[in-house]
Amino acid sequence: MSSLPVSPAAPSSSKPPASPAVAVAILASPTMALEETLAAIGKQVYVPAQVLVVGSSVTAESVGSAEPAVRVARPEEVVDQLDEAVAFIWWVHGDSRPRPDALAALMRETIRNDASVAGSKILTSDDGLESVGGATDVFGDPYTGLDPGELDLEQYDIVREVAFVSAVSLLVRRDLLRGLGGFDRRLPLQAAGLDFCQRARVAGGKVIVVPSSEVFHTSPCVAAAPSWQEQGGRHKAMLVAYRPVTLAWVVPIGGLVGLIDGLGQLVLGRIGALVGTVASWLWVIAQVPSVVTARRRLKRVRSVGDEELFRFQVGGSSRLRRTASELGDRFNRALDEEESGSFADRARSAWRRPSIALGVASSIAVLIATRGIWFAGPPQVGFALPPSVSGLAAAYGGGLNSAGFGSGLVPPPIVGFASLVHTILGRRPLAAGALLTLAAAALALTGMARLARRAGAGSFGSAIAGWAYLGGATVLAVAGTGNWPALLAAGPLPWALDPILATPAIDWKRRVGRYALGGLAAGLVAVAYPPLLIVVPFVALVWGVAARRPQALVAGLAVTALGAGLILPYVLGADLFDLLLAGKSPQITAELLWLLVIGVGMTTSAVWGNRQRLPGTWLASLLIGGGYLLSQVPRISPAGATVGLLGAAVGCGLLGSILAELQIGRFKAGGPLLAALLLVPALFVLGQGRLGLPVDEWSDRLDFIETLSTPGKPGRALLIGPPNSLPGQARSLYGFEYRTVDGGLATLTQAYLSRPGSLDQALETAITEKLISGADLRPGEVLSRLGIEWLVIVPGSTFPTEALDRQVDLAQRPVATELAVYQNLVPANDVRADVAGNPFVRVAGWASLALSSILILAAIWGRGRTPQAAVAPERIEEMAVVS
Amino acid sequence: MRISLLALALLALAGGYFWPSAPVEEPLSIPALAEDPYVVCPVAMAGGGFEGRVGIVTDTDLNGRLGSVGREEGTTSFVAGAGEGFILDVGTLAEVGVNPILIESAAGAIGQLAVGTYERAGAVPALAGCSPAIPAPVALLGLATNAGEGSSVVITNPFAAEASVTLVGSSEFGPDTPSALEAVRVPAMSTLELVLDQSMAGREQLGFTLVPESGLVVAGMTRTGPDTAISEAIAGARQWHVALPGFGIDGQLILRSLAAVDSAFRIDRIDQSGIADGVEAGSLAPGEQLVFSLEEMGGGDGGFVVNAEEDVAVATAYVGEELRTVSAAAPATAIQWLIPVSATTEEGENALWILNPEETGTSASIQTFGRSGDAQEIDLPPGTTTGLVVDLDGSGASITAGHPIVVFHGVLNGTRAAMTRAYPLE
Repeated sequence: MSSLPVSPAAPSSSKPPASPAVAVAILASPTMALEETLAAIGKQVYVPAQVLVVGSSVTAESVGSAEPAVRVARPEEVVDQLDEAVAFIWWVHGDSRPRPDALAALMRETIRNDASVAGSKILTSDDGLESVGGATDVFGDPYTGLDPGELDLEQYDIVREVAFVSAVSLLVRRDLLRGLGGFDRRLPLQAAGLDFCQRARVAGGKVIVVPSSEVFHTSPCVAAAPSWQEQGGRHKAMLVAYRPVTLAWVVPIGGLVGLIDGLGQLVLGRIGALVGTVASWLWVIAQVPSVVTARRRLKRVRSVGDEELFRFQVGGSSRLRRTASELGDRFNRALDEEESGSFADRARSAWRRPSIALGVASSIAVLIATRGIWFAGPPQVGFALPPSVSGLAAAYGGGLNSAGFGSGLVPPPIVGFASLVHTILGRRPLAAGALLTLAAAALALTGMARLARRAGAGSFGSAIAGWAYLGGATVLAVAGTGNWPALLAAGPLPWALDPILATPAIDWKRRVGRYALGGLAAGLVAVAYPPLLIVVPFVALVWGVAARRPQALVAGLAVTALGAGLILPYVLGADLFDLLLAGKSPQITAELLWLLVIGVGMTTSAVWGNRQRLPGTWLASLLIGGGYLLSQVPRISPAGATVGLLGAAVGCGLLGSILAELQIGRFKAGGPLLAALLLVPALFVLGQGRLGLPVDEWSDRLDFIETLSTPGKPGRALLIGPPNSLPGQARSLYGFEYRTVDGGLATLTQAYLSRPGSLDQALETAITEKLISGADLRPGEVLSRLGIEWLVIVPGSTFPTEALDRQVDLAQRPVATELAVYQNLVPANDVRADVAGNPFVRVAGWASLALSSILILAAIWGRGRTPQAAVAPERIEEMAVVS
Repeated sequence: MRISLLALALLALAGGYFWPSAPVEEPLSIPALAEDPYVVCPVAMAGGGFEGRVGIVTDTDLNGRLGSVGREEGTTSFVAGAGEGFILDVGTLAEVGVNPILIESAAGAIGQLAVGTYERAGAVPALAGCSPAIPAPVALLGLATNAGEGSSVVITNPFAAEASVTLVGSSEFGPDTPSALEAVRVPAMSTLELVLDQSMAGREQLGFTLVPESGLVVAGMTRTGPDTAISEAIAGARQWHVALPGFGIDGQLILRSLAAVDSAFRIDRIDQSGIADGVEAGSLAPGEQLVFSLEEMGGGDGGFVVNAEEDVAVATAYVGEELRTVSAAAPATAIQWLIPVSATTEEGENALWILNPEETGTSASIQTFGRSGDAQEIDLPPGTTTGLVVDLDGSGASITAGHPIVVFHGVLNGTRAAMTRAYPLE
């Protein structure tokens, strides 16, 4: 805030000699009890020459025993009612209580400083500061520099020239009031004060705040008008005060700022701000005639340009700064990072705070790294498949598993979760996929940063941790297999580990909240990729030993148990080994180079790291070593290798945070340099734009099935291709893979095949005897008995097509590029495995839903921050010095 | 502690890197393509003045289907026991002129199945064999479009996948292929009849190599004039046997290369005195066709053996005043042969021409299918083509000899005749 000290405040004790006459105009409303205000006016040492009560609905009850000299219905009538001797009018709200020397101080400083308008220091009844004058930004939004609830320690007691003063207590020269036409009665009280001050300054007047004039304001008048109206009033004040050349750029940019601020407030969960912005501009449009009138009146008295208004304005937008600061606080809270300083200070330096800057940079990087996913959804390849409606019932409702020929076994929980999101978003599968992916990326970055902070990292280290995790070689290897659910699970994983690494909370409420949040995150991990849940107790074990904190193990087990509770239907109704074998094993690109960097990094952090970071170093090293070793075990299942590398990814994140802040003797850049090497794969992720997922292979490729299939039939296709080329899980035969897909869209619901049943065995026989050996000319007859209408062959497999050249009931169709497509000329039946739904699973599904609801509520209930003083201790100290 | 944990982690990294990966399991070998479970008679005819019959005899129990290519509605099922045969009138399926017939096994390989067609237009007989499609070049020999002659190439694709082929023609003028025939697309389950009378008029010795580019087709040819000759496409082989039926006119031996490289060949004459080596020898360029006079090579009542270094196709053609017949040579000798179809007694005389290529004499028995009674026994002198008229009366027959022989069968009707090779049983 720009301020111009005029002179130090001097204690006032006596009425100045030859004092000009002052009239007091008390602005009243029906809800105000004026008795106290009138009594306080009556005690003024500077005795006013005249007292007027302004308000059309002032009653005898509200006035009480006090005796007002004049009652005036509207403010603009005040001037006409004044005695000729009156030179100043003191506007006072009817719910205020001025100290006895308030008017004297105002008069003294006004005359001394040759001011036209002077305002008092407005205090709340508990000595809190409500106003000591203030500045505005160029858009007219006020900036007081006060923290909410800030106490008056006389820290602002200096007479200053300001942009505006509060209309609660405002002394104005009579001639100026007449020249400006008084207050704008269409504006709410606060906006009216601002408007009047601005016009006074444009007319050449000086506006000062006189802190020695103290006025207690018993009720916040701001609440009397809706915030959008106050905002509109400020817009109107701006439109009246500025010259056209200024308005030409301030109005459009102001509109844009309002929109951005409204969106920011939306992120904060406040829809009212955006609505208020729109409403305020609509209100201003309705005020255009009065704006024109006011501008004409002001033109007659204007004596200075807009430069005078700019003189007391803060740079940028105070609203945006405030919103950014709030967002930053939310972000920091997510990272469990507390920043010192008052809210006002934090808002002032919002853009310069490292956490904000890193957060913004990370957000931009995430948007870049996922740019290919925003609108098109994740690439349809591997298990990155769009959800469908039936997935929720199959995974959590005891419904049939429609993968392959159908099964009574419960599909993995991600099928149900993705289906739920898909349903919530109005059955938009691509949007659901995109949202889940973006959410996972955001959770991974923030969660890993928070985890690194738990392990002792600072702002910079924690930001590096996020990207060393999400953009590291190991997560990239997992994403490269098309294992989208595992990538999603990597998002909440660090959050699930948070209660393990966190210092035990003393407050039991917060402890419950932390466990609930961890359990919820562990549940999301389990929902996305159940095998990954094993990382949680492993980390708990290592951290419990490394940090000598046995309760970490308890936390880990509790979180794991809670997480497992969210996948009860899967635990109770599925074959857990099916998922272990699904997909392909991830392989790190440039493995030797990665090992070299990791090895040097681990050695560096272990040798040169400080003792406080040692548990983190151990955890990182053991996670990386153990995870990598697990992934390399011969004949390890794809899930085993995936879990190993994602565990190693957590270690890489922690290691990155340690290295980023490590200073090695004279070679201070050594640690950050190694951390930067860990981030090299992230450049690939940024450049690629799909978060490491492979190129889309199946979007729209099977659309012809829905278009051309016989109406009423399932449109089942038998897909045959090279290993790992088919969507979802496939069965292997003679070096190629095959699977069936229903409905022309390879969905996540169909992705996970259950163990082969009789129909699967019949299909394998048909492939061998009819499609490969060509035992007869009519393979379509057998396929039709399995409900297969289409045969789709992906090029590049070992599948021989000779037999397909000599058959009579699979007609080749040129409907898809790079695919050999045959349509079965024999009408296909709707064939499904004869299985029934499992009501027991439905009960388990409800139990999981109930548990997740409880965890969400508990997490919200227990998320409160440690109570802070209204003003930070160092701030109070600073104020004391000033005082 | 620091160092030991660090060492542990580094050891894990090193262990993981150097841990030998599990040997890659080789997938099971892909089953081989089963033997062709079908045959196609490309030049079966019904309508347009022709009455065609398809004869089927088998040495195994067989159930299958039989139908006209591209006309699923007329498909009929059949069951035939070992050693049984039956005759089907092509006209019962459709009367559309050239009407290729697909005979398929409903369960597994079709086994040793002899299928042939006998066509008759008044007094004009014609015989041709049937075969499965092969994914290799085949030859169509003995066509002519000179004065009074007309020829067509029949290409049928009985399958559901589209096929495309390239036709490489040659005639007495050398390489001779109209651009329209260089790439021919054959839609699924359809038949093309390429009439050459206009586009390639004036050729006396016309032949084609049909090269499949994608999919599979079965081809045949028809040659019309005073008489009608039909023949299935001839697959390549490196040895061929030619019997001499003794129609009283000079015949031609047509030799065509199906190889992609030059191929040396030699034609040996077989007669009662043994084998006369190298009555003709030379080299065939890819796609080249040579025509030899059987009489000039000293035909007599013996036969010929053609040997080549690469795959060649061999046929004999007899063109008289009223007689036209083209027959593929026999690519192998066998002890037992099947004759799938024959003319009825009213339609003409059924003839057999049996070449005994060995230097020793033997005997053979002829058993008519569906007819009880003793088989007909005949002697087969060494190096001799024995011709005889047999009473088959529309039925098929089986010929069994003491050692490998070569059998052709035909129909004689006055000045007209038809001839084709019989089916050897392995």
